Amino acid sequence: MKGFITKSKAIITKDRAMGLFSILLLIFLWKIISVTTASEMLLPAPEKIFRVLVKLVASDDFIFSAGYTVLRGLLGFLISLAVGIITGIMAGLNRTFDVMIRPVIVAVRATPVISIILLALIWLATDLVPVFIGFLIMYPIIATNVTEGIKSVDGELVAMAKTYRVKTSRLILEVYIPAISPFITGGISNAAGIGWKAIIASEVLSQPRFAIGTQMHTAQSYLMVAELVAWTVIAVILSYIFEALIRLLEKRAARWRREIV
Amino acid sequence: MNLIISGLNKSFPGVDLYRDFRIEFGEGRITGILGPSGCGKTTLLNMITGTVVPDSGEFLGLAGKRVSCIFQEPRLLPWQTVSENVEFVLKDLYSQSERSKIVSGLLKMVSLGEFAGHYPREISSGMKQRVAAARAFAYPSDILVMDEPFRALDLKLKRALINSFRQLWDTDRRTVVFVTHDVDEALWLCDEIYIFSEPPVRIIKKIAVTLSDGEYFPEDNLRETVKNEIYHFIKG
Repeated sequence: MKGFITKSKAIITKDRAMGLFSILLLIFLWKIISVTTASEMLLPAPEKIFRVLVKLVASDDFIFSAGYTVLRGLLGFLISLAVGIITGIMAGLNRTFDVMIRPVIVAVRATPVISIILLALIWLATDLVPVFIGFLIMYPIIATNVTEGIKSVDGELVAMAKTYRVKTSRLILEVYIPAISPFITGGISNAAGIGWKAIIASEVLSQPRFAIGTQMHTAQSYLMVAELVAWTVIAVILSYIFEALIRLLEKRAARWRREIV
Repeated sequence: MNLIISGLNKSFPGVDLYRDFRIEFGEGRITGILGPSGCGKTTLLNMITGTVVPDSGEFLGLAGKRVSCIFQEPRLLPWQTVSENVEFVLKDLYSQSERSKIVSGLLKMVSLGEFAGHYPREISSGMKQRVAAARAFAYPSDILVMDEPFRALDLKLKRALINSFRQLWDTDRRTVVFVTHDVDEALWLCDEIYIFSEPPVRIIKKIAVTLSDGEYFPEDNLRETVKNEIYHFIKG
């Protein structure tokens, strides 16, 4: 057993080393291209980006721009999660509701993001546009996953709970929710990745006062390519942190499923 | 009070399972049901638990009564520990301290006290069935339905589980409706046995087994006589 654990740890360390190597390789390629093009306008060198990045993070505006974008992302995400779980469960349990909501979800999914952003710009205040877009992108993914999860719940467990007259609220909390938790975390992971990109894209177009998207747009307008790339790196890092948090949540939720080692 | 089902009608597309059917289960007795596959034995249990609705029929002695169950599969929540699984059916009925007392008492009775904190995947199939039995007896039911709970077990496990069940039942005698395909099991456990026909179901024979003497392996002549009688009726 000890040998097995040591082996798993060795595999994890090796995977991490490979991941780090791939990032370093990417930076190396980036450096080669930037030296070849020899133009700061096209692609600044990685070390230049790093200097700009440090400067940006140290600036007074950074915390507001990054903070507001994260806040909008979180707001859009939490609304999508709440509405997605509720309507997903309802659709999973009730066929009529499922049949009614499915075309709406398909329509939302099929509509080009840019059309929704342009319409949202007309309908909503600039600060709310990214939240709304985040919701429209993330909600269908979470709701669909939850509905699929509910449909896959073991009917025999539900019958057992019903025989023992377990209250509906407990049936949902103790049977349905744990059973669909892998579907929820899977949905969250997918939705968050796509949603985050859409939120920043909508910030670029809606131009709220404080936003990573607004900063990117400004940098692009003044052809400050290094700043534009530095903000992109910040967005990637924030997305990575969020994804790591989701993975942690996923691990906790699946504690019961872990193999005995 | 006996559980009396009368005027029962239930059909599924293409199958007329029960047509004006009547059956009676004695209070505080273990009644077995033997019969061919697909004759509606499980459906009858599901109608008693309320998970299947009959087309029509009267269930006398069921109103206001609680029903617990032990199925062929233990039906444990994989994300809850052994003790949480037993506690799951008690949360709406008892306080935390009462629940802990009931759960630990019953887990001890089925020799699973040490496994209270284990998840179902960490225990054997025989142990899982014992958890299901502990859960069924923890729940303050008047009626207990059992749908082939020993079927998936080998003979040794089956014997151990039947003994566990018998111990639980001896301390807390509930009305038990026990569906099985195994004549030996029925003889080990039951006070009386119904033999069902093909659908539409009728009772071919009701056999009283007055042999419950604490020994659950039917070796003596009398048991063999009853067994032969049952086989005679099953074969038609």
